[in-house]
Amino acid sequence: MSYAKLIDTTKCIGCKACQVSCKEWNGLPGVQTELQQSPSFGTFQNPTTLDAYTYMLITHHEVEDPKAPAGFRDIYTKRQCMHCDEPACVSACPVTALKKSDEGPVVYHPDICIGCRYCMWACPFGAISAEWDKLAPEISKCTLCVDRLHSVAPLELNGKPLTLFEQKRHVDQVAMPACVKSCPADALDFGDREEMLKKARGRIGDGTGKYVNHIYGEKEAGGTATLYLSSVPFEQIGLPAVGTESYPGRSVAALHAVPRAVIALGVLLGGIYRLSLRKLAVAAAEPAGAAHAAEHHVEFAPVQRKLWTPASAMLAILMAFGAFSFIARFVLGLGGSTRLSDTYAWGLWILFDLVWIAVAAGAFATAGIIYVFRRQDLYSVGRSAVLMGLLSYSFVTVTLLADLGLPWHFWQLGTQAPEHSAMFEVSWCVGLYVTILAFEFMPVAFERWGMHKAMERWKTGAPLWVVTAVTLFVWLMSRDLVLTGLAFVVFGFLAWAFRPKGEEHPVPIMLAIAAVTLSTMHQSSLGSLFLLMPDKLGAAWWSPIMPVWFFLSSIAAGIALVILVEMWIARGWGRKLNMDQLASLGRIGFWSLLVFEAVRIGDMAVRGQLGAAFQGPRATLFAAEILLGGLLPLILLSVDGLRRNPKVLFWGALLACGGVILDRANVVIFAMDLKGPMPFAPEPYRPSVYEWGLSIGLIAATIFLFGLAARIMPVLPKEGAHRS
Amino acid sequence: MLLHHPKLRLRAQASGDDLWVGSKLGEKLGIKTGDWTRVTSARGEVVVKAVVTRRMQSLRITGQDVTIVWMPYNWGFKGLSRGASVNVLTIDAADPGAGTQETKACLVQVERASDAAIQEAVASFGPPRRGRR
Repeated sequence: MSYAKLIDTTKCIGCKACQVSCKEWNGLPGVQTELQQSPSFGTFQNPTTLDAYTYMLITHHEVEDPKAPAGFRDIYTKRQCMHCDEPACVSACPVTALKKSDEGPVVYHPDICIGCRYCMWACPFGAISAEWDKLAPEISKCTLCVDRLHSVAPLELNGKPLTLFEQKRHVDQVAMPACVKSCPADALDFGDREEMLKKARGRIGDGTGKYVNHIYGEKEAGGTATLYLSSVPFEQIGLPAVGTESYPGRSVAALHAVPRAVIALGVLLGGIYRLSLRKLAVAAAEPAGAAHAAEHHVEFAPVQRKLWTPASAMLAILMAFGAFSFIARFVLGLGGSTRLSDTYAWGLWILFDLVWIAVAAGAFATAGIIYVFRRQDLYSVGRSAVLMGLLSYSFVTVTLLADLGLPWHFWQLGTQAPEHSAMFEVSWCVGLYVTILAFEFMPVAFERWGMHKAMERWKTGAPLWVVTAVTLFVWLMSRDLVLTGLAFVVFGFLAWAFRPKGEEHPVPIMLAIAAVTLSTMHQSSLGSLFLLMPDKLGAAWWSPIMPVWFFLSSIAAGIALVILVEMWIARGWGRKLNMDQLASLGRIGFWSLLVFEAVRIGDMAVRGQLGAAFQGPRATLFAAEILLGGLLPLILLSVDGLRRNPKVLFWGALLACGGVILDRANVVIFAMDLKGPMPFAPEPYRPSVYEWGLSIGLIAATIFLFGLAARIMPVLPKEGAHRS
Repeated sequence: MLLHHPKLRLRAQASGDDLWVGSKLGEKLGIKTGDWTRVTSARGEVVVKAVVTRRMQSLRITGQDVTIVWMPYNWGFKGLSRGASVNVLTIDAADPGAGTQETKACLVQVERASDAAIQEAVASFGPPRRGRR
């Protein structure tokens, strides 16, 4: 049996006994309130919205009615968590801290929660708040008084034993939410959902014509355990039109595809590598080809430059600022150090992570191009790209750690099994990919310090770790032994087939395959994160194929950033630009950007949104993204002659990179119609100094540590050793 | 009982120590909801925010429109939501035997509050906002 609460707004007298008894039962403190002045709500609404200490709220609406004495009528609506039948918050939660119980309530378990606040953005009703004033901010929402539903009757009352009948009557009077219990106007009812629906239909059909013929909650968002009756259309009393489709349904398919996609990608990449090997073998057999292959041997060496330049000092200051901000985050708490709110539950740090992961895609893209597609001419950019990826992803993890409300619960990611949470996918996938990046970078350190034994172990260890990591990942995503076994067999076979055969420098093909596979998964799943928010994200951005274009755009941005970094290195350290290589990368960047923009525009056209996107307040953002960040770089990078011009290439790469950065910024901030906490009173957001501090500090740290590593370890090709 | 405590119920109901003003009077005084007003009677004065609402209709007494305003009673000087007390304005007289208060209706003057008066009111009742920022 599933419980539901029936709220008859025509009977509510606005006494707020429910609001008081909710505070009383749940032991919630009072909150400072002010005169209600928002034009959207009536004066008697107090406080304006739900917050961490207000699980429910009687909203007040002055609805125009010429027949009423003063020309309007007071209508009160009770608002709280809707306890959806298919809750977006439960689907979002990466650690199953929110669970939908069979009895109806969506229950929160703070001891599991990591504090990522994805649920707050996923909820189409804005029913979830966070304790921003606490050092360990949990989220909070209505519990449907799940702790009252299983009340046990006392055996005796006032010294008199109770009969079974009396016991049952006692329980019947208590086993309901506190709000329902306290309602003096019979506006609230609680019981089996089917029965409540029957009752509601009965009232609608009672012949008085008092009600609109609609039970809000019967089908809204796939059905909820809170049902409303009203005498006026529901929009007039603030209940949002959320559609009848269940919210999780939108991202389930994308996430269920992940384990199968991992296996398929493994097979595909393995096959491509095998084919390219064959091609190389054929080429090498010809005398001209052999000479060609030898030409690609690159020697790497540490850069001989002074470390403490004014630029490095500047970076060090920014890093210190970042470290200070990181400490401030934990001393002041998440709410104290950031300007996040129930509206902007996610802010600059999440944007920063999304942008950084996108532009750090250069690491997997180059690994894939160099090793899987055997583009050995690009070999010399491989190490710097991997180092950049390693640093970027590591610092993304640091930001996430700061952004989590309860980061010390992070280990729950390993013990819980959510069914289809994009956040869970991203967490694991990024975590495993960082280990892959570390493995990719290890040989550089081994080479520097002559660790031959470690190098030998790495040659067999790395493929084994790939098999383990991918198998583990598939198990976590599918919880299906068949798929897990299949992943193990496929990647195990690849590892065996491509095992090192005694060469001094074996191709780290397994690492490259894992890098591409895992990156494909988390780059796309970052798009899946937003599939739960069709009600908030602008129509020009929200699309069922967001995962696809998040992945495609990350390749374009990643390649563009590799070009920019290579050019910056050359400029900063006065090295010669390898224009052959850069033009090659520019060509790859061009094609990846073209594919991305084609899919993006094509998707918009298919959904019939293309015309509308160039109108309205966000037209500039969209136009900037598509024209400046798409069309213009495509033109600049279109022909080889242009790509070989360093200035044109630079601008093309910069615009392409900027376009994708703007795209992510639009998705997270600018194109988001955040509605704010229930009943929708959005607050503005301006990042705090600590939010900026940590973000800028970590960018500085990436640049500084890259420079440091390039000076200590053989990351960059030896100067003067370029092929002509 | 907490549930039936009149003060707690009142606080849940009302938004603060506000003065309800009819739309017509609001227009005449040039005030809108949220503006500060100074309310004076023969006995004292309070500075409170106005709620301009159609809810307050003027009374028709012997062919004359009589404008009325309304204030909640019992606002406090302690706790989270502090505010001016309407008792300052009303008549202290009570039944000598039972101690029951006289009907709480009295003649008042309503005007826009001066900046100095607003500052004073905010200083004495200003919200010690809970939580951050």
